[in-house]
Amino acid sequence: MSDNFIYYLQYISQGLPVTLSLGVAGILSAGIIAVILSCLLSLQRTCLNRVIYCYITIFTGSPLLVQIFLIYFGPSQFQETLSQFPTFYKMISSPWFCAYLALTLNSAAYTTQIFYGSLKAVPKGQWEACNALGMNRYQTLKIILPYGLKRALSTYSNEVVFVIKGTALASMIPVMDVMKYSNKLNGEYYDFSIFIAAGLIYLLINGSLSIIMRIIERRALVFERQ
Amino acid sequence: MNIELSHINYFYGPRQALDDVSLSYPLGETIVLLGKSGAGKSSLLKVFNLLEVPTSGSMTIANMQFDFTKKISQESIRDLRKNVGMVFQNYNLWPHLTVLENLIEAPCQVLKIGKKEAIEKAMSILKRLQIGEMADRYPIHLSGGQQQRVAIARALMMEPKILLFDEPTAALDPAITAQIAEIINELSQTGITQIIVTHEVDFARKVASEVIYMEQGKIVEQGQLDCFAHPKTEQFKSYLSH
Repeated sequence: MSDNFIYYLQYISQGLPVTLSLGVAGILSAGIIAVILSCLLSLQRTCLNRVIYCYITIFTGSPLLVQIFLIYFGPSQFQETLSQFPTFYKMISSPWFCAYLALTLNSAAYTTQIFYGSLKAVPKGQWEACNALGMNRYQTLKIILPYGLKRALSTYSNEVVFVIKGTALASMIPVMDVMKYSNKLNGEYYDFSIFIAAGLIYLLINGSLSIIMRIIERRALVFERQ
Repeated sequence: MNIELSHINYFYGPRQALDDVSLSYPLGETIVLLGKSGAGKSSLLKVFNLLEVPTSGSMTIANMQFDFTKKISQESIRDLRKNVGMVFQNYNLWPHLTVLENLIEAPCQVLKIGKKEAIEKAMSILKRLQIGEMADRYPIHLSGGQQQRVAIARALMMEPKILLFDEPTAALDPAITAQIAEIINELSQTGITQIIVTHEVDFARKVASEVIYMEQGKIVEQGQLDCFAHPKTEQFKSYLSH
């Protein structure tokens, strides 16, 4: 039994590079997009804000699996048009890239809500202090944004874990991640402990990420420690 | 050079916060705005650096002219604020920056001063305000009086011609209030113009060279220090007797 379990772990671990690369790339690009969108939202341009909120509603309101399927299966119906842009067509034909794109767009929508929420929660007085010193919008954000982001870290660490768990859905398209290898193995042995092994691997990744996030948060919030 | 407001009207929602306010003072005075809560003194203070933009009227301040019946550009507002600093009631320091970082941020970004020069200037101002050893601490680790001095230092870094104080002693105990009064008196000797909103009459007596008393968005009485002893209007007399 324990020999089997170790074999399962080893076999499933072949999916680790894909799961990790999807997760990390997704988290990083979503984070960057979310920071940009939060800054844009803080400009309070009615039209721009509507577009961004529309994007957020679509990507937080529909299942991640639907988004992955749409991005992966969708473009193949427009082969002729898309083949005029060979680089883009090549990228969008790669299952890894499709999963990455879906994860990024999905997580960026949630992360924007987190970041912008905490930016809005920065006390009015801090914005006023920037204004009173003659700072423009960009200079103001340069001061206020780091504070907002630091305060958002504890909520944001949840989102990081969600993205890692979300990568499991990529196994529904031809992406060889941890979940895909588990499914494959299960087709052969039909043993429930295969999924225990898979769950354990995800738990390990998320556990370490949570610890890393907590360390980052402690460093970032050093100014609040008594 | 003068500070001049003429026929300023300002609406806060449906309420008229400032009602046809006109005044004119030479630079270098320490002007205290007195009045009950809601008298419009904070609104008036925020007109001087255009944190509140009046609905009508005009203003001349620090060699700049504003006609509020026309649209005021953001750029001219920022230019004005380089010359008119402000110290807030609850300090509004940036909590995630150290005292020193709080001080050098605006001069480096807005006035484009070099970082080294800014740090030297910051240290000398902090020493002058007797909080030199606090430079590397975060605001949360300072007492209220120390935070208020940091806030004053941050405003002084911009070398403003005019410095606005919004209830600078509201959250401070009497001993610290006396220290802030000393700082204000010291500053007035450097020739800087100070406009101070307060509802503490004792504090006002210690610092004022000119006094304005307001009620319901209107200036009721204007005078010099002796109007504390001999108020001209019944309203100011009754305010002082509280």
